[in-house]
Amino acid sequence: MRIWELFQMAIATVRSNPLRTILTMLGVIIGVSSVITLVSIGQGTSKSIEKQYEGLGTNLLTVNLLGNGRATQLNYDELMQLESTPGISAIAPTMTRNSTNVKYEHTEETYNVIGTNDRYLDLQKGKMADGRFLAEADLDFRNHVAVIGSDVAKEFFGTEDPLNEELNVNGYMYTIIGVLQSKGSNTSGTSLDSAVIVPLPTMTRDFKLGSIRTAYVEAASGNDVNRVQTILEAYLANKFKSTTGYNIFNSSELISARQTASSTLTNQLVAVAAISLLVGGIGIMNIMLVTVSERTREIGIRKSIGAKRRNILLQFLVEATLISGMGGLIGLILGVALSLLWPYINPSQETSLSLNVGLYAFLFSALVGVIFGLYPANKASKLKPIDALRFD
Amino acid sequence: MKSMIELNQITKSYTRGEEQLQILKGISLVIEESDFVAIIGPSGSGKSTLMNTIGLLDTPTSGSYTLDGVSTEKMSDNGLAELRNKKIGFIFQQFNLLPRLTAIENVELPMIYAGIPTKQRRDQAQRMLEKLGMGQRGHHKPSELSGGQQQRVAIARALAISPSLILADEPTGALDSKTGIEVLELIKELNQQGNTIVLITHDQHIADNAKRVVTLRDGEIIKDVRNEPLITRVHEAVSI
Repeated sequence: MRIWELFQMAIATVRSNPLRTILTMLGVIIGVSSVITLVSIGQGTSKSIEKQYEGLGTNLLTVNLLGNGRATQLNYDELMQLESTPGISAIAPTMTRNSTNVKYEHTEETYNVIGTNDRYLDLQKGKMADGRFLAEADLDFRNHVAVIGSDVAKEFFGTEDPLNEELNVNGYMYTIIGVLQSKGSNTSGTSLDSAVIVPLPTMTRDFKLGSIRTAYVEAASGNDVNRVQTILEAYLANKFKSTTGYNIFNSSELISARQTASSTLTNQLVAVAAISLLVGGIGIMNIMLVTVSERTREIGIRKSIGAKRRNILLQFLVEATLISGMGGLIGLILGVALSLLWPYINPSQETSLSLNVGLYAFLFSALVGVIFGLYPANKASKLKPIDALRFD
Repeated sequence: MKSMIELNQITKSYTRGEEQLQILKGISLVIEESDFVAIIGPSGSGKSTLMNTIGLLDTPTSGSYTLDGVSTEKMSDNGLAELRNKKIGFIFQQFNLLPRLTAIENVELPMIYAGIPTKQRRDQAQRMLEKLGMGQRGHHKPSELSGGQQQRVAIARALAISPSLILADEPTGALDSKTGIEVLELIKELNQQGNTIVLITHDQHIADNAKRVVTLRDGEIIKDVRNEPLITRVHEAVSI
């Protein structure tokens, strides 16, 4: 007996009771579609984390100076001297003032103002849309110049050219020398798109700010990151005579920590979905057992005209596998559709479909049919023809 | 003439609680090829058990059974299934067609288990249905056919793989008398074409159609009569 004939037979049986078939498949459908959807949400999250940190580059170290009293401060020149350390390619000391009033003509908005140096653009992997970025001379002469993010440019100038226009930042006039390309949010959630970037010394004076809180340090290569971190830690510990008052983040460490957190959550959700697949399998077993006792007479007739144990076993096994396989296929389609629709339902959440997961979920569902169909099918095949024929 | 069935000292007993019930008490019977034998007896005589034994649906407690030269005692379930498939065509009182399948699919069923290819199977099934005057009804479900028509389909199924033996268990029991006579004529015709037939019945009139009548009572053969030719011979059962 060929497998195709078994399938035709199973299809005929399954079609003869469509409602029961669909109800039986439901568990598998829910299981497979939720596994696929949850995995694609998990992978989407992990991708969006990667994308967030991509802006920083993996060679980047962030040094935070807590600035508790004079003892744990470094000034601009002290920080820049570190740039000559082997393994360090650039340093950008940075000060940020959030929600600062920025005015152009009669329009007033609040933006984050960042004071930094000429290295900042490369370190943040930013690109210019128009004009130029800060130059060393702007710092040396404490020039009143500003580079603005794309959102700022859009808000104040629309389609007009912002270059050489005067911007009132916290009461001081700055000339716009450049506009950044749009980039999206970075690690800290603040976006360069809505920032006004000015020379650090100019900002310190105008804003009467204290010490520098943050410095971005770029290692020459990925291999240098750990060595540079050790050197910086040793330097700061020596300088401050303390191991508190500062911390150094390594961007790849941050990425992997957040990835781990998100994948742990995803794995737990997938485990719950897999349990529902298992419950679906038990549903199939239950229905197959009912089917076997309902069809005892049929089994008797088939055996009396020459069906062997194997024929009956395969008939019921193929039926169970067909039900779970169809459930798996519907679940697969539903899962893919849900994954594609999810970002529309919840715009802050990306999804990323993976062919492998879909395939595994489908194969697993078919396997569930085989495993849970085995017991009822074996029970059917063991019936004695005479007992089965007498059954009413 | 070659013997089709050789039953030797067949016993069958069941245990019900403490009680040991002996249904067949040492039946010995030889049925020759191309013969038409009716096994008759009242209910409880053991004729159904004998028929199940001959049909290889049930195994005897002791004794030996040779069907068409094949000894069946030490056969596995699968071996018995194959033997049923190749050598026995069943005709049941309740037809026993599969309700979900069409007439032609029912006729094809034994050929599926015999591994006959689709095309050949379908042609053969159609020929069988035509032979029984059911050529136009192949695509009807059993529920759409009358009792007589269903029994014809069942007979077509029994004949589908040219069995050595046709085993009919009260084939007219569920039919009205007119249709019953038609089916009986059909069975006689099959015998004339050379088929060996064993018919189980409780009805003497039906048994009279057979060439030989074996009467069972309380698990023993009490009478074995040959109706044809006209001279009736009464033999004693081989052993009692």
